[in-house]
Amino acid sequence: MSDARHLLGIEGLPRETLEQLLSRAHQYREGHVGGRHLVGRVVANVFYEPSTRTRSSFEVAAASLGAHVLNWTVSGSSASKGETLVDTAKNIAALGVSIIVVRHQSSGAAALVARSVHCSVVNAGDGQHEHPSQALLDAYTLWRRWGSLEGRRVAIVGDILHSRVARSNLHCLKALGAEVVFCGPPTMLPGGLASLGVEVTTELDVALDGADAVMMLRIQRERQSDALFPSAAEYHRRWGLTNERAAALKSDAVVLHPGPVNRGLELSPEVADGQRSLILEQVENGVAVRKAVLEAVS
Amino acid sequence: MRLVLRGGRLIDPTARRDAPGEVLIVDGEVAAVGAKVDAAGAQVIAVDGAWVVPGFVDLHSVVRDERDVDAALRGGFTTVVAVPGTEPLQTDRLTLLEASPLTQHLAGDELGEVADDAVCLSQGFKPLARSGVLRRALQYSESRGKLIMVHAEDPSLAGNGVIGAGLTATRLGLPSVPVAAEAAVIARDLLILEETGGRLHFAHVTTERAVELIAAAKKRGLQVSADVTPHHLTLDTRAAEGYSLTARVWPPLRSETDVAALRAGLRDGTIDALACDHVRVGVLDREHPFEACAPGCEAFEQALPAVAKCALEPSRLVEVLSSAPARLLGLRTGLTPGLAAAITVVDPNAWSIRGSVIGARHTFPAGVVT
Repeated sequence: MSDARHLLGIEGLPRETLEQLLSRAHQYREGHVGGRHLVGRVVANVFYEPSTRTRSSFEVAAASLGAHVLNWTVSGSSASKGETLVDTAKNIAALGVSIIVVRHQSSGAAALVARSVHCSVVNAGDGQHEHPSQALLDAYTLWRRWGSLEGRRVAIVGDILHSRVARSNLHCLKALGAEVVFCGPPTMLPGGLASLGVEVTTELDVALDGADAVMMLRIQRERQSDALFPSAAEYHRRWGLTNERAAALKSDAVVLHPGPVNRGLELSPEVADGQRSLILEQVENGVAVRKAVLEAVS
Repeated sequence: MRLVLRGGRLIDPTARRDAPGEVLIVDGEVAAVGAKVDAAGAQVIAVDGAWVVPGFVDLHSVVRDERDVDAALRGGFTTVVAVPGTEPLQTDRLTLLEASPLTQHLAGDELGEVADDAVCLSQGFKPLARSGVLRRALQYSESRGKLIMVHAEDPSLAGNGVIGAGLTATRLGLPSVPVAAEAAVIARDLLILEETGGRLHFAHVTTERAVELIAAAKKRGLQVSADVTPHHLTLDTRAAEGYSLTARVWPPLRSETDVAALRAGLRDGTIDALACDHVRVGVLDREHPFEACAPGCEAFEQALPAVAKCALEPSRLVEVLSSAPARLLGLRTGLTPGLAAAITVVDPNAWSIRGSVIGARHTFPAGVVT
């Protein structure tokens, strides 16, 4: 990592660093290491946005490394009393916390926290910027399946504009040698994507053609101030992974979703629970990946 | 009190003057300008080759307290128009002028009452979403000839954006503002101006499209003018890298191409003037993530260095900082006997300010004055 004390994003991380994290995660996943590397340390989960799975995943990971986990909830804390993010971060660090895991609705929030404190900071999702541990667990899930991501084609479908998962995955997958195609409604595809070395299309069938993996993004209804498409039914028709589309995929193609799934919107219930789906495995792998991340920054 | 500025290059675009010479100031008024003035009994300031020019005039900034006054003086400004809606500061160290709010509470709905001493009407940083209001304002102002200063922004296009759309915004995941948020409003306003008459001024334009639209309107003879800020002349969206708050300004920063177009526009006269948008943001308003921070930057001292990057002829450089904004406001300034002294001395090697004379006061350090 460019600054090994923190994990703020995937962009700019060298391939070796990513591979080290994946293989360490693999050791945890397979039970090759028991490691209680964080005994006596405090890991603070500071979540400004509601999140159950990411927060729980970090909590389980930290606890199984022996750390004490402090869940700093925002409602009822000083954040709702107008305290600045910098102030809150300094106060949490002053409790003797070793690692702050932060989720915030604004892009750049984790970097701001990292600039303000002396302890380690892990970005658990900042606005529309990055969600590095999610990208690592997605990459690990594919890597575990395939052995290598080199030359694999991964389609990422949905609200690219608002998705930190899409950004982190783009950087991670490309660094590991995969080819990435973004697909979504034109209103959800931000400008400048082409210069990031990603194929961009609004036609789902084009994106799915030859794909080895399909990552369906969650439609964040709560994040859309304006409707970016006319209706859920239309979205499902044009950009949803329907049973028919899933059936037409390459025989060994897999389906991922960062969760929680809007069943019947991004993908049909049958696809979510079907043979191709790695959705539950992603959750399982998430703990191992986050153990590797917490260990790496500690 | 008599004061002489000696040994400078006098540049005054209004008087078409660009020659070595001296200026005599008596009791706060310019008394004589020429190759040699009567320095008997006067304090003499030797400026050794620096440019002696009409004091800089800023069309819109926020001056909250003496720190802002200091910054304005350090930047060479002798006259500043306060953005309406800000609490006016009382000071005699700087000429602070008032802009009348174009609409009541700048809400964009009903015409604001025009203060008699207002030098212009301004909408500050607030958009005018309703075209009909601008039309009425232009019609009404036509009889008085006051400049109408607008902020070109379509709020429904700007949304919650904080930076110009493009690669940097996409990579950093920052909500962005399309070019059309500015350009569409400028196009609309120019069409209205064509029907109504009046003098319309676009504050802080940021895009190449805006420059093109204004150039075309000028060519057709419309009474339109525009200004650009120091930051939009020197920074593009890449300044937001690492979420640097240098880039947290409003209107948002744009692309490299836009910066080049703004510089060219300032050179060829499409953009009439520089204006600062100096806004000093409190420390607490900076302890948030990029998009949640209050926008603004301390721009007074960036003005001269920014204009110096635009490859302007010396007289054009002085014009955009001084004579052009003064003319837009209908102020009489310059190195002309009989006018109140408002003079700035520029070091053209370091692009820094040596000092200024405002009325009976001056800001030159003690050792320089003999």
